[in-house]
Amino acid sequence: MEVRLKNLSKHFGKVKAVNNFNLEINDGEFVALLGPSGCGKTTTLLMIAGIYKPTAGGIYFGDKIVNEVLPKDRKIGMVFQSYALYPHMTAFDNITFPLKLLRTPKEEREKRVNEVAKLVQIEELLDRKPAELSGGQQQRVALCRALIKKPDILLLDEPLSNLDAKLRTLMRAELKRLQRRLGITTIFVTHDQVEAMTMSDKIALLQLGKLQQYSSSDELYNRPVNLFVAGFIGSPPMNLIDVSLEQEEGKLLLKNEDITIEIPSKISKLIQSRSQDNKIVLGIRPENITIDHKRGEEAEVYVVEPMGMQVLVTVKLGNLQIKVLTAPPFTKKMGEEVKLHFNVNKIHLFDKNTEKSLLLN
Amino acid sequence: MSDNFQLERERSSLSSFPDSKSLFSKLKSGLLPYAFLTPTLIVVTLFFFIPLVMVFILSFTNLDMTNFGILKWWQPANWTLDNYVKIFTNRFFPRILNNTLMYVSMTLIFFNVGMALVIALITTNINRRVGFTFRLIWLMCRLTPVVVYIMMWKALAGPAPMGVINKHILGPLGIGTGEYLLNTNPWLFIILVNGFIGASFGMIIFSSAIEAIPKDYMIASKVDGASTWQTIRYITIPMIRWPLLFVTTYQTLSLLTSFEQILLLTNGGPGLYETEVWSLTAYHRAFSSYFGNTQWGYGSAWAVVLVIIGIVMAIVYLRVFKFNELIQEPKIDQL
Ligand SMILES: Nc1ncnc2c1ncn2[C@@H]1O[C@H](COP(=O)(O)OP(=O)(O)OP(=O)(O)O)[C@@H](O)[C@H]1O
Ligand SMILES: [Mg+2]
Repeated sequence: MEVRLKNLSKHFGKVKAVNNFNLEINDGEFVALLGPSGCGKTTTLLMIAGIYKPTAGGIYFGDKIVNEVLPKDRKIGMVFQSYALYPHMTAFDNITFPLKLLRTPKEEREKRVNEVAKLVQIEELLDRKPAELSGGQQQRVALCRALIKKPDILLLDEPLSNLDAKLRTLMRAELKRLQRRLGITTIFVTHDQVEAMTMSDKIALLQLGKLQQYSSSDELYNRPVNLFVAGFIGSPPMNLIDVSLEQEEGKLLLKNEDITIEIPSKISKLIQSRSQDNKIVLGIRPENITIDHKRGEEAEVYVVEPMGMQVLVTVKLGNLQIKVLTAPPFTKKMGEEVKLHFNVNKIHLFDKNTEKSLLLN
Repeated sequence: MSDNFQLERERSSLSSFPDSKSLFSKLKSGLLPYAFLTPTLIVVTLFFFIPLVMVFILSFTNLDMTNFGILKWWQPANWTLDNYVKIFTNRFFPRILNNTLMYVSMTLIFFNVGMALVIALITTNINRRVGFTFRLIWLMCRLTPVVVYIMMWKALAGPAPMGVINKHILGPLGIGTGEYLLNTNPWLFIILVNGFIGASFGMIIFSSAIEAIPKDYMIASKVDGASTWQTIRYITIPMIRWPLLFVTTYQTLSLLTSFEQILLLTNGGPGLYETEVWSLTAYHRAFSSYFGNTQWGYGSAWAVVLVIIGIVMAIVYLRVFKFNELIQEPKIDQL
């Protein structure tokens, strides 16, 4: 089922929880709503579920506007962050509750439970109450309850955030496989960018109720449209440095008191025409800076954080602190001199005032 | 250096009086809890436990106004089962029993639990502030002194020219003959009068219990396809089973023992024993017999039987509501 949100807004009094949100989700797609706490992810999901009425705008399932359709008629399944398993019912009764409300015959119910329970391997747990299940087991039961009605759309509100790190990684992969297998259009809310990037086809990044960027995780990482996206996506985060645009001897330079970088000639024209007042934020990811090159900017090692596969080095360049990812072994100690080389083909440039990318349309 | 010295001194002081110190602290920690309990224990013993035992003993005697000071009621030689035989062979026993059952069950079902639950469900499903205000207004009948409250009802039920209901509702509609409504429909008024007060207790307990249910359950049941009624039936009610049990038990016991509203409203009338309930009988026998004789022993026997009925009811409720199932095993995580 396709889902489209058109100029969707939800206000709680003065709080604009969701503000003019546009989104198109194709049939069978796995889309993540990503953003910091309080940015309106749950509110959006509850509007799609039909619990909240939008203040303005429309929600479309296929070609049909569903603003006035009751939750029970929307053919949705939902998993809550808290799982919301009814504590007085066994796992079996929890899962079959939607069917019971439809007055499905008992044999049919049992057959369907066995089907979904097999999908997530909880057949032995069906006679237990939620209090007798671990977090991971509860999450699976909640997933079964969402799936048993064979919904057109699956809504997941941070379903993994209550699990420990190991189980989370495991469930991430399982959930992704399951979604591919069943082909249900899925909207997945998370504030964890790794979850969003690893699982979904597309990510909608929100901040303060507004959509910042809607694209694949690749795009989001490599072509951030504004400063917020650039700073939010990536761990360790992108280095963001305030510079000004200056022209010297026919070359275009990004300069501040600590650093001077020459803009590659192929983008210099574009930058010159787009920059309003020469105030620019330079963004460069830690992996696009190389350390200990023969030539380059002189800097001082500030902290060294080995992470196994890579070493995260923070260096001090004048007043700037810059994070660099490099391959081990890294032998330099704190306070020692290193040289930095910036890969200028991988830089991102943002207008300081509008915060928009100068390289993208 | 000085730290070490300090430590050394403490160690030696400890080792020189090992027994006396630990004995003293043991004694202290052993007695301390009882010291805190003492005031309560004294009050409960003086004002509850001793009277209870006395009532129990008195119920086996024929102590009354005429032999007070003469009868040695505390001597087992003066104890008989006569009072109990008298109760169960009393000509009005079936009527009193019937009155009591009707009074307790009707008030309980329709008001103290029924209406309380309905009000709680409605006021928690509408705008919060409106719901809160409504519950506050409903509390007024509990806040009004009982005598004033009963006077108000008597004014409402009064005969034609004065009575509010007769004059402004029944009269214009042409219903009834304008008689004193407490004479024509005493039970209706007894149940209303008690119910309006009684419902406020359950209303407060139920609405706070309902508001404490996490919103996610309600949202989940809506997504699962439940109508409002189905959500109430399958989610809300099971989740407030404990407060339901509590209110039902508590209100049954307080209705069984309460008689002050009936005393003030009808005093057991208008017909002979028409609205006399068990606790009112105990009161009448013990303190205001028609013949000017206060039969303390006989009244006590009525009271003792009432206490036994109350205990039996409480046990039955615990069984019916499956109290054991309400207490959940602690969660043991196993991944
Ligand atoms: N029922 C409500 N009444 C008033 N304000 C609300 C309500 N629900 C949400 N809000 C506000 O709307 C904003 C968005 O809330 P929402 O729950 O959608 O955030 P979220 O993105 O899901 O955050 P989190 O990651 O913490 O779950 C917040 O500022 C929140 O305080
Ligand atoms: Mg949320």
